[in-house]
Amino acid sequence: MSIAFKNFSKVFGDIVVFNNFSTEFEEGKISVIMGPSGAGKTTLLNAVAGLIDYEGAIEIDGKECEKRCSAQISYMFQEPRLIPQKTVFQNLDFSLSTAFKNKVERREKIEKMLEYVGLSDSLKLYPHELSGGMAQRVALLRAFLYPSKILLMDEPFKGLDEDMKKTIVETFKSLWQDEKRTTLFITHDIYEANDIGDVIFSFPNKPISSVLDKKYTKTTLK
Amino acid sequence: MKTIFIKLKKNKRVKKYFWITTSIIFMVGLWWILAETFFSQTEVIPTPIEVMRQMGQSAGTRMLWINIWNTLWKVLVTFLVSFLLSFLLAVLAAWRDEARHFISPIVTVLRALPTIGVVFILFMVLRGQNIVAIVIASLMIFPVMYENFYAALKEVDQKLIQLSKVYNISFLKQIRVIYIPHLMPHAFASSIAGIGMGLKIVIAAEILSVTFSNTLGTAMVIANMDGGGMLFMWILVAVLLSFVLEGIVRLIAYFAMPWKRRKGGDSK
Repeated sequence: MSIAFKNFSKVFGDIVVFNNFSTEFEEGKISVIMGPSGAGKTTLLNAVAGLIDYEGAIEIDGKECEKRCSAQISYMFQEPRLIPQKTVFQNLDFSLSTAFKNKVERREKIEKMLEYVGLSDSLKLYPHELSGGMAQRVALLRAFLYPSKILLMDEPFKGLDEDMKKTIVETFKSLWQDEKRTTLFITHDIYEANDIGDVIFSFPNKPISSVLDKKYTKTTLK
Repeated sequence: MKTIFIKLKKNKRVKKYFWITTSIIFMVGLWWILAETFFSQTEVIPTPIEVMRQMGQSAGTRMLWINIWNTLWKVLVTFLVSFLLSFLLAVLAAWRDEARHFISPIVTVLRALPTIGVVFILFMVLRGQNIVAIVIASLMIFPVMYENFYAALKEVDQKLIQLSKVYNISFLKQIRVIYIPHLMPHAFASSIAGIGMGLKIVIAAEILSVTFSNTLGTAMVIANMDGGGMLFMWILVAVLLSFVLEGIVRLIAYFAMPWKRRKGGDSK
């Protein structure tokens, strides 16, 4: 599923973040978005997820999203966002419940996925019993378990130590290879962008209008 | 001895119960010393042994249990009324600013109400001891519970609500999975505070609006008029009743919040 922004505008108070911004993110590719803090990268993802109001249009596969994009979307945030009072299983089951009505089917999927990434023992653990890296891996699994066509990732590996980051990036790559979803990936790390992204977009200073200033392919950066 | 100290240092559970036991021994010891020294000539504070003997005798009589029950049911009704009212109004206040602005001055006034003065007014208007005790205790507990619930509702992690929106989770499921577990620790803490306060205020109202009824408050008034150590026994009965009620709430909380039982889960 491709994602197109057409004359997209967003204002926060007096600050114009986007002004008639238009661009397209290709289907089945990982589009990395880079840019200075506060440039509006998260705003873009939140708009696709239907979490904020905006002016203009967002089109998924050429079809305009009304209030919310009807396409199923997974979102991996900067922080794991696990419900503190629920176990790893209950957290994953919570987000899956709307996609799969059958409880047994959900349990099978969750167990299979946890086994795949070597987290089977964490099934009954609560978020406070997980390390930062483990919690982020659970959040990653949640995003991949949900049968979405679009995957939004907002600096998902931020704050992790190098070894853990490497492990999670490898998990991400292998999960993504199994099912190539259209992915918008925000990062500040140029190496991570080059490693993960198919296309890299760089955000200019505000307000962002017209097409993004720079668009690199991986080869341009290498 | 050395082993006990090592256990105390290493095991948090042992440490906790050691200090609780020490505290109880300290209180009973202080009571005993006061009874044997400063108050030895009077019967105001009898020794623990004397009170235990009185309690042992009273436990076999129907009157003790009737007095406890007649106070207890009022505490439970008061608690239920305050819990439901404060919860519903806190939801309303958290949902609509208009409701919050409307409720806020009422809560401030209720918080400042002098208990004794209001009991006298209510007794003149309502006459019945039971209804006066329930109304006054509800009025006193409500602001504490309301503010607890309101603060808890405002603390619900909006990032989790955003997450629910992304995964199209219904509002009812959000209530069940996010809101209720979040509110539980606050509800149990409010319940413990509310029941303790409720018992104290109900007894105070029974004492102030004394009628010919069998309640803990009335029993205290009669014991006071009779002199002797019975008053102290009734006070101890009230304290023990409060302990039992608090224990029941804590037991329910223990089973209702499994995440709290895990290491490091206390703050969640």
